[in-house]
Amino acid sequence: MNVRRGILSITAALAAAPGCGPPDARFVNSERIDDLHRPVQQAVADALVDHFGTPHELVAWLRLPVNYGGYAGIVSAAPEANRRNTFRVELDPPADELEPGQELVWISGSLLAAPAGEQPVPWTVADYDPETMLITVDAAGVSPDDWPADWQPAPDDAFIVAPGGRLKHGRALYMEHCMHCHGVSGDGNGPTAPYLDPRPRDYRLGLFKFTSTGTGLKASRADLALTIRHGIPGTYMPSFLLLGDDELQAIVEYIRWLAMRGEFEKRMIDELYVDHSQQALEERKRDEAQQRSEGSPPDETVDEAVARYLEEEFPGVVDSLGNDLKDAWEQADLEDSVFKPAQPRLPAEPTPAAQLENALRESRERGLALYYSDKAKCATCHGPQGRGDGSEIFAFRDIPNTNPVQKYAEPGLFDDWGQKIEPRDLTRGVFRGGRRPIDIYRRIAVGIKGTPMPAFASALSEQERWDLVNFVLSVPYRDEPMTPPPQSAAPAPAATTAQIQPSPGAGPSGGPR
Amino acid sequence: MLKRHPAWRLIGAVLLTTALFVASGCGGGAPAEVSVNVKSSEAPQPASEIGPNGGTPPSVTPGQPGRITGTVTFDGTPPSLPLLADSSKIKPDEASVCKPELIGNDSLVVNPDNKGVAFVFVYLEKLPRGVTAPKSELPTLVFDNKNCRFVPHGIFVQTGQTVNVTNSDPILHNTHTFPKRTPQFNQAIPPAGAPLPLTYARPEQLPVEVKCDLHTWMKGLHLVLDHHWGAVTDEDGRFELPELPPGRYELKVWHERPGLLERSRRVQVDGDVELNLSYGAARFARYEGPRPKSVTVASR
Repeated sequence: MNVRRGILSITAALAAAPGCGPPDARFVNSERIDDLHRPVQQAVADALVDHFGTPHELVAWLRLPVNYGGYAGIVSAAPEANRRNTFRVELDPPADELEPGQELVWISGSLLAAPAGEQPVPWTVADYDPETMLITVDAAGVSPDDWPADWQPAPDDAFIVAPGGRLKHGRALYMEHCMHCHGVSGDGNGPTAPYLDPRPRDYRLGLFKFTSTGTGLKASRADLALTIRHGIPGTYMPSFLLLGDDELQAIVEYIRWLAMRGEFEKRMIDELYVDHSQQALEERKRDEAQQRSEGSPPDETVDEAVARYLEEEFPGVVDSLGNDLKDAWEQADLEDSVFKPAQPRLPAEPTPAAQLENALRESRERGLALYYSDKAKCATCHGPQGRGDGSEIFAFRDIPNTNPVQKYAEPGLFDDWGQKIEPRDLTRGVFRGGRRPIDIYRRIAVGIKGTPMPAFASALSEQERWDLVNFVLSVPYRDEPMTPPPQSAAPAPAATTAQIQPSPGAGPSGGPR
Repeated sequence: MLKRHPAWRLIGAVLLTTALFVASGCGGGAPAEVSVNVKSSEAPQPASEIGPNGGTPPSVTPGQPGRITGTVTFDGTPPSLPLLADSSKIKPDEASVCKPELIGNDSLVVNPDNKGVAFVFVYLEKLPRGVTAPKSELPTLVFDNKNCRFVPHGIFVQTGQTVNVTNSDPILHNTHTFPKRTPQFNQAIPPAGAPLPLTYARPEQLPVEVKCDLHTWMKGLHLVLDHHWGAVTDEDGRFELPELPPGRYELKVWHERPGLLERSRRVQVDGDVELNLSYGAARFARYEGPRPKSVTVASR
């Protein structure tokens, strides 16, 4: 009896002690880092922690176009001589009130520097009056009379109040809703990911497939929000329509931040790979040894050269990567970056219904002809009946940028993430990027970034693109499988699957407008 | 009497343990402490003076400026390589355009007369300090899809220079580039279509691969630099780099089969320099067998 009670108490204590708190989150570095020379690996890891931090100590790098939250402020008028801690400011976004005690971080100006030899000062907001836009700041309780003489707030000094609030909010939401598939680092390798096909998106290439922006441009905030809001039909990505708009935007910011972190890492490794991978170092050391034996020793040893590179050139490389990220992601959100059709899909209103019906039918017929034509060659990948079984899925392809050239282990098409990807089965009517006509239009005109689907904007005119759109939208509703139009000059494409002979006489039936 | 049944004690113990697990925090627990540090967007102070192109230590010495010219030759008997495409890869309706004998094999092109190796890239990857590239009007280059082959197989492009991608075949091609520093170019180019302009905004460390997704054997190479000291060997294996200030330079020599033939070949420029390189079959060999399987035993 007592023994049993003892066992029970011990079990209870063991159960209570560890608890089931949230897992210790850690950013995972790319596997390619392991191919780099040891000191260089360390430099890359340090740069990542320096510029992005860890999941528990985030770093808000102001270079990046991420809305970290808080209020960005500029000193607009110098303070009076006797009260140096109160001055007029302009806040963006404007604030109705600032809570006393909120953190304030100086970005420029004389108050940025701490007194010589001391820790950085924790600045806080003591008071803020939105009417007069006067702010009173506090430096760890030190009275302004005791401030060092060179602390003088001047116009155009910049600061941020409560930095990082939005990033933290986004992080918390991400860890709750997204992390289990997309991983802590956004690498698409969360705990649930091994059970999913297609795999969750790996943000670290900075690429997103379904965007409204033109070729070569990043996804805009609106694109990411749309994907999260509506999900991706045909995959495990659900719709998060029930999340509030504010939460959604916070998650979008965090995902953009993770994507920038991943791309930052990838670009750094790419830059270093050519001359600083382990194999490259071996070759360089061999060359150096050979030069020594030939009697013309180089100026510096390979190790010295690597150390010099890391000290002198690498910070510049890292910094320019920040600029690249800033330019690319800022450009994606511009109005001009959205790929807009120049003409509408159907004749504009008012058009009599019969005429509209006619126009649609003819457009679909032209689309059918284009599908098999030499101009668009959709059948090569999407198949002679639109089932995604075109002959290209049987070809063995080379993995790009490999030396010696390696082929993918399986035949077929592969995306930039190294995953096998199948051309869309058009007969199903499930379109991952959305089934609105404009979505299909963009897939055709801009292509799908990160996949073999190319941009057809230069190959097809506006009308031809819309003809294909109308045709593609009608494919699921056909009575029988599609066949090339009889008057098409090109012979029927190679049928690698058994071709189902359609029953004669039936033409394409109406589909959705 | 029911209460004294031994099973009740077991059930009670299980329920108690479960309750304690739940109470101790499964499904929530204490929120993790997260802090945010702000990193300003100011660029880091350079450790020492770095020129506009970073690069190797100063190497401009007194002397005469000169060009670097030379040849890359094959030492020995060049192998005869199999054709890249055969009937198993070519679609029947394209067989009249994509003829295997016209496609050939551009991965090692050796001139039978003088053993010159074509499509070897010789270039300065980084400019040394003190050397700046002169700006000049850049002509438009042409990169054609002809007989299911990229013609020319390798070209040297400067950043900002326009490459007109054309399609001389009656079938569809798509030109897909794989640069590292800029987004990919992946556009379908119709038969007898207007030329597609392609530009690179940033230089690349190694030549960029260009492929066609519809014809898997097609491969082209673009060397992209932000200065004009780069060259592709012609059909005689000859290359020529324009005039450089006197000094010591480190050239990279790259061919698609082995990759880097020379990672940093030192050349002293004092007047014109002749650089003749010769490599045997071993240097141009490339493993083309099945991919070796690799197993990761333990991560870091």
